[in-house]
Amino acid sequence: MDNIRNFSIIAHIDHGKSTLADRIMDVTGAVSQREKKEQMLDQMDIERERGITIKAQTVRLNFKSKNGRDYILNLIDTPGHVDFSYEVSRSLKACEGVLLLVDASQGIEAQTLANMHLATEQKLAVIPVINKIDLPNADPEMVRGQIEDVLCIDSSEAVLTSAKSGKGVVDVLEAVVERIPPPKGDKDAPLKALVLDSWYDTYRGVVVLARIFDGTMTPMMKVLFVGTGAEHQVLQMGVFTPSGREVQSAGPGEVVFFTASIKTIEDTKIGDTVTGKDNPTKEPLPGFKEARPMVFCGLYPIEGDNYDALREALAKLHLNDSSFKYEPETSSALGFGFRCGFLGLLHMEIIQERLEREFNLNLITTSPTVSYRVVMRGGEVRLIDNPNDLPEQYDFVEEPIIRATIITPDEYLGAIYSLIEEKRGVQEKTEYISPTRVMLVAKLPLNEVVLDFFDKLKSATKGYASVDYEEAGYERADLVKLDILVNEEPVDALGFIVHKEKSYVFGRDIVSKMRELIPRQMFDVAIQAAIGSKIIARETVKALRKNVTAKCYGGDITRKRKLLEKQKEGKKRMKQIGRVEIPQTAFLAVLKK
Amino acid sequence: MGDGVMDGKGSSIDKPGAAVYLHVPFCASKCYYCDFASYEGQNRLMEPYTNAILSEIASAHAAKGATSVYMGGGTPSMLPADKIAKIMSAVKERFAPAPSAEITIEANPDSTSRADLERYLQIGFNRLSIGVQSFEDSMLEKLGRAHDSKKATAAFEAARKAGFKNVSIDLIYGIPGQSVGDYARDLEAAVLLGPEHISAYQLTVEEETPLWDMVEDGRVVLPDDETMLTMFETTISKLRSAGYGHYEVSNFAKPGMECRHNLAYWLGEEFIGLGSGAHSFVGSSRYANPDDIEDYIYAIDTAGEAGVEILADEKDKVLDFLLMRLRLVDKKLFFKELNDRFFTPATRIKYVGEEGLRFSEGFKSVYSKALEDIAEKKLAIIDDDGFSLTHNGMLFLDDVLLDFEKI
Ligand SMILES: Nc1nc2c(ncn2[C@@H]2O[C@H](COP(=O)(O)OP(=O)(O)O)[C@@H](O)[C@H]2O)c(=O)[nH]1
Ligand code: SF4
Repeated sequence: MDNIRNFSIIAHIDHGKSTLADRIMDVTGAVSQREKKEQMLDQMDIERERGITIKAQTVRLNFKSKNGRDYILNLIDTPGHVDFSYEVSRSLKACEGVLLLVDASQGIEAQTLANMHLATEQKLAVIPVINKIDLPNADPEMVRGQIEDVLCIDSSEAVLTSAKSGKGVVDVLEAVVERIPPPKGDKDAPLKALVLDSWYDTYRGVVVLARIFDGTMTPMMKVLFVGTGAEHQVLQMGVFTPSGREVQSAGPGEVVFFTASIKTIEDTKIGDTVTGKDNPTKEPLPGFKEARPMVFCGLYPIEGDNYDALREALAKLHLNDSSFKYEPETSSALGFGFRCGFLGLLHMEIIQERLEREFNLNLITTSPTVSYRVVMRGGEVRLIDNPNDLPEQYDFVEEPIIRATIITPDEYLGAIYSLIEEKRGVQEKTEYISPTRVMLVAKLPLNEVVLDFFDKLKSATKGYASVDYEEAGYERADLVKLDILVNEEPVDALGFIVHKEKSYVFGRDIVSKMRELIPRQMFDVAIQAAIGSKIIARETVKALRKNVTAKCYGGDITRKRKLLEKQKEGKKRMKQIGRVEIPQTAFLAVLKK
Repeated sequence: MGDGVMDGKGSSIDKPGAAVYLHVPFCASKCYYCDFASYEGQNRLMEPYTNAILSEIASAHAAKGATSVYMGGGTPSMLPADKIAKIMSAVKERFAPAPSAEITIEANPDSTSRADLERYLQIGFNRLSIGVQSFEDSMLEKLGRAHDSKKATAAFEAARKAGFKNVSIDLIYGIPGQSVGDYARDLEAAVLLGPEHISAYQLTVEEETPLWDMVEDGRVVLPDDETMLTMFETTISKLRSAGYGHYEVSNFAKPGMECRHNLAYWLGEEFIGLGSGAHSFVGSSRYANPDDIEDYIYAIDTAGEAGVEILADEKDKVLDFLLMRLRLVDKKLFFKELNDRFFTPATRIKYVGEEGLRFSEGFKSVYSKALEDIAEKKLAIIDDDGFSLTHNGMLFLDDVLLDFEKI
């Protein structure tokens, strides 16, 4: 056990995590440049023959230190985005230390902080690594200062690297060996292992990647997933080097994958504890909780007959990502679709994009919402994630809040302040982390963030600000349900929960957009925004006065037929609300905001 | 090309009474709104074109007794009178119009002299259609018309003097910048001249015309919907009170002076189109000649015919019929006629509707949904033996047709 080191690389996006990981593999001889290409082929062969899909970047490496000893290094992958911070912290549970990678030309960014926060929470050894020192505008000293001041860690031992050229990479590994403690554990105790990742493999069922803390795992062993209660028998075990290599047993400190004829990924939640069925551990790893969806929306196929295709696509994606939820939903405006829950906005976008790209589906997405706590008169609490589920009578509503950390060049401070205010945020802290860079912490309602906060932040700062957020509980807010009515009929796809102060502008905006996009019909079409029975905005699409072709050209019927064909095509793309025909573009424009 | 060996559109004309259309694709200059098969600067093709149309006439397998002949364009009056005479004598030989037949020539005010008009009468034309469009010069300019209003009046008077007893005037309304008052004056001027027939079309902005570009980039602004509707209603009321019956969406006539030739189109009767861009309806099939003059000449020269069948299934054919027939105002359409046309054992309509395969159940049952819809929207009045459109039904004819399209 003494020669094992388990560590992750944590970094803000683009600071060089993948590049450094590659270099580390090169240095440890895991994959030489020449082998890399063949490696790819190998992986495919493995998939075909043995049914082991390689998904995680997690690899086991052999390293001979200059102190003369051989080490096993497990480089454990962490998901790269804020939406998955829960999973990041799970992955970090498997480590004794981390490499905190900072771009020497950029300095600390929001995710650097967030990740650092997660690492210190778990009392991990932190090795600062300052990367990209080859860049002409690299300023390692400035970064050192930031590490001291902002992260409060000793930067004198920061390792300087250029992951691009390979410079300093061996120093990084020596630091890992020296400064990250070896794992502890009792190989004779009952099995206690942490699920780091799991994914579905067509041939072998679910593959589970786990870090063993106590005990020993062997093939044929019966295991229990403590959190989900699922029981399975281990079939195959192995390590990624990075190609899969079978092993016959694994003990404390090791990271292994195993298969066990597991049919559904729901059995293997990330963060769950795996133990022996016959001799279970008395102390499962603490705090297993399922990642909870934070952002919700309805997904509808633009062509109604693609409903089945959408259902199949969702099921397929769900095989490998059980963190998004979906259930059938019917909308009178949009037809048959699904209500879906995601970990965050990016997660939602990833799934949407995969559905559209990999499965060739055209989708309408209803406006993303969050999960509200509705406190009823009697004190009962209801969680609702669909605005249309808001009960008519209740005591008050609480909305989810996040704490956002923004790091930005100070010239954009003014713009960010006003954006935060516009989004009903409260500033908590502003701090210079270098002469021209500021770290700003603010609490914001998730509901506002979900609408367009990130886009607006990006344009307000020309993309120079980075942002990360964490959940920060629920707060009471003056929220109202806003309905859009078309000729007195509420459009279910256009129900929103908005802050009362913003409801007027919000309603006006939608109503006037709809007015532009709803074609004139044989009668007046009234578009209204309403809160309860109170109309707060109204527009009318005046009735068409006539619709008749003035002239038929002699005996030429083809022009007229083409014209009708065109009108017919247009009608096909319409959804019917009462007698009113609304083109899908109108929904799209309103829902896309 | 001998008789009896032709395929295609000539073959089944053996019953008398067809309407014959002759197309003259030449114009002095292209009007801004025009997307007809007409061309400026192609006069050098007049000679070969005349020969081509003569040969098309000669090879058309047709029986005698045409009910109408209509020479339209383009601008037929651009064609030298002796060429017109040649064409007409071929027509007479081939189609032997009945003595009562309506024989029309279209003319533009600027290419019509008194002498020409007298010649047309001699040739056998008994009806003249003048493309006046407006009596206001500023409006004519906006349309890109080559003439001014004085010429229009002069042409009309010349026609009367020459001896035309049946004259029609074309008007256009909804011209950029035109007010209801402007247009009302056009109507009054037309009524004052007292033609037997008036066509009043709302200006349609067609793609790929100069007018389309002008509207797109905002150089000109069309009157709004409300104004257009008022103009249409004004047309109806003013012309009605002047004794013109409103018999088709855009056509008005003194009693008995309805255009016999156009009625053939609207009633779904057979017609034979000759010349470039001309369409024919023969048996239950439609044919189109190429729009391009030279393509047309080439087809006639090499193949002896130029018509290409316009493919249509039974459902299309019903719709094609309806979209012409329903243009006639206040003219009840009887289910019996529809059934005779499309639902007899011989013409049994067969297609897959939403509820599955349906055989000759008759129009009323196959189109029940559409009939219900238009009745509910008050676009039509339906009773046991047929239906007729209401005034609103005429105003929203395209919506009516879309309902029939859905079944
Ligand atoms: N100049 C320079 N570029 C680097 C270095 N390390 C990474 N990069 C580049 O930075 C970009 C982001 O690197 P990547 O490893 O994908 O970042 P990740 O998002 O943290 O995984 C890529 O274009 C790399 O080539 C370095 O040491 N020097
Ligand atoms: S005269 Fe008639 S056919 Fe010729 S360009 Fe003008 S509108 Fe078109």
